[in-house]
Amino acid sequence: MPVAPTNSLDVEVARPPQPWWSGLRSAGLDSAKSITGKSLVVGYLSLLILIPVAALVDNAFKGGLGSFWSQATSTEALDAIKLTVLCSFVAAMVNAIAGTATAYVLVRDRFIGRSALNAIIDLPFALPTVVAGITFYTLYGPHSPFHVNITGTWIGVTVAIMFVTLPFSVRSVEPVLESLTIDAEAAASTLGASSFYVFRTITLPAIMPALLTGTGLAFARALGEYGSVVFISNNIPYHSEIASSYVYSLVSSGQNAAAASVAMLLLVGALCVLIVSNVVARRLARRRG
Amino acid sequence: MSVSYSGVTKSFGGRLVLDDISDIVNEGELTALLGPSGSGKSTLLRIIAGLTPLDSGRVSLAGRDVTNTPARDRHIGFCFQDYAPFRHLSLRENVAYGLKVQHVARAQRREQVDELLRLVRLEEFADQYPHQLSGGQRQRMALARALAIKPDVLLLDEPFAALDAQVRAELRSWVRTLQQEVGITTILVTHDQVEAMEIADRLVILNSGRIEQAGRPSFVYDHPATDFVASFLGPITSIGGISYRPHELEIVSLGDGAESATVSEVIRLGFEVRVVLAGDDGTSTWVQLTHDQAKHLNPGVGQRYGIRVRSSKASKDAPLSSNVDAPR
Repeated sequence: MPVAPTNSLDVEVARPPQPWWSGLRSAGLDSAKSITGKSLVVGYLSLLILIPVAALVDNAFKGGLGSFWSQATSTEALDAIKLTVLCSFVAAMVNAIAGTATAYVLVRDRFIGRSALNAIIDLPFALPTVVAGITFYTLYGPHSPFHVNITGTWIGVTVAIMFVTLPFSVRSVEPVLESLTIDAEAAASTLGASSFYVFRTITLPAIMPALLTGTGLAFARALGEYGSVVFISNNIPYHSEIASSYVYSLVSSGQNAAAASVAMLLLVGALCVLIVSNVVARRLARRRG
Repeated sequence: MSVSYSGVTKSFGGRLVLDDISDIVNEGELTALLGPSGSGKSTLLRIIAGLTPLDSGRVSLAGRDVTNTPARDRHIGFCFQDYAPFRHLSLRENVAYGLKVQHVARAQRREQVDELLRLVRLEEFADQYPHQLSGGQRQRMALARALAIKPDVLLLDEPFAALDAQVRAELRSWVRTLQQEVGITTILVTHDQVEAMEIADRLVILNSGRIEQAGRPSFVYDHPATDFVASFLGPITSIGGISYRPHELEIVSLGDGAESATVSEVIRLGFEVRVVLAGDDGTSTWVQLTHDQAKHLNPGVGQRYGIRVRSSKASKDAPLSSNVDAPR
């Protein structure tokens, strides 16, 4: 009477001889799949990011390192970059605070219109930035119904940037507030801590990594913002011109290499901010597991 | 310090979670709030701690009304079901948190924390972070953190629910010893009747927002006030329309005034044997025998026997369903 194989060794022996490609099929299929997946991802990212960036770098360094440096650090370029960095930084800081407060209210409070507010937060993502720019110009420009004219000032630029980048701050902090801290906050309060002390010692450290990442993203995004800022800034060179609109004016007048040089500097700046905020956030998050 | 609450009522979004609940927990006692999930026991615990506002009713600590006192001023130690660790703080910093709030001087703080860590046997993990600890260690950390402020009352919300069986049994008896050593009034929420019976001086059994019965565990077990309590605390079976615990019945030869029945199933569970019998009126009864009793009787499926109440039970006590008023 034939006996069915009872252990894996018997199964191995009982198997008919396999063709040479069987190894490929059993062990190699998965890796073949993952190779296909990887090359798709790399191809996609190259098309979208790597190739354009390479073209930019190529353009920026066409005239050599010296011409890159002189073009990127001309007085007009430096003034534009300074204004952009300053406004982006202020906007990111204000949004870090206002965004956290907004996220806190969204997560912790139950009120009528909460879901409406929740939807409105994402509006800056959905709204074409040019539309936002024109709206700001109408509301806070020379013909302002409130008689508030902030065109051509760093405040105007900052307000426009704050509008565009608010969702970054809110949406990065929100899930952490939702998941991490409610019981820990309650525990701290049973130990005698006041609400402010609880926020400072429990809530804030818990949301800090996410807040850093969100603020870094907002800042990096702000460095290149164009549509929402271009109307309200008035684009007066050396005074209220932002970096992206300076780049645009260079391209318009055919100075492609100069435009690429300034853009390159902005790109490196944004990248540094992203890397630093991510590294610090990860380091903060690491010890909590 | 004694804890009392009266007329506590709470609803969430129109659903009544606690319905006019009153009780007194005596100083130094360990009371278990026992009930199925959704019975309102955790809500009641949070109301006592001041973490959840109540709709109506009063909460008092040692006779002092604290109904409107915020949690931070109640001086109550609270252990959360998921231990609520402060993830960004080390074990030592977690335990020291309450002392820091009270502005205890650094040297004194360190001394007290060291002592607490010894008490919960976590000295060697003092500088680890919560995610590096096991569930049982995190539980002990939460306990040390709550005890650090020398609270008047200790509240434990399902303290052992997230632990595996062996750690749970160990921690349970350890917590009981610790509670008696410290002598602190403790209220513990659990859905596990074995846990409650083992650890508590007193049971308060909750079901859909009401107290079904309160009293000493052994008394409540033997004299359940309602069918719910009887079936929640342990298995019940019935004979002649009256409820009994399966071990209160015995199997005898036919005759002798016993109800006659046919064995339909014999389940051997190591030291105990369950014999399921079908009565002549079609009702099913479950009799629990010890290993020795079963060996002696050797019941087989299809055999006919008589079932009756064990003589010790019949003479001393009334059957389960006779609704005795429980003394406290």
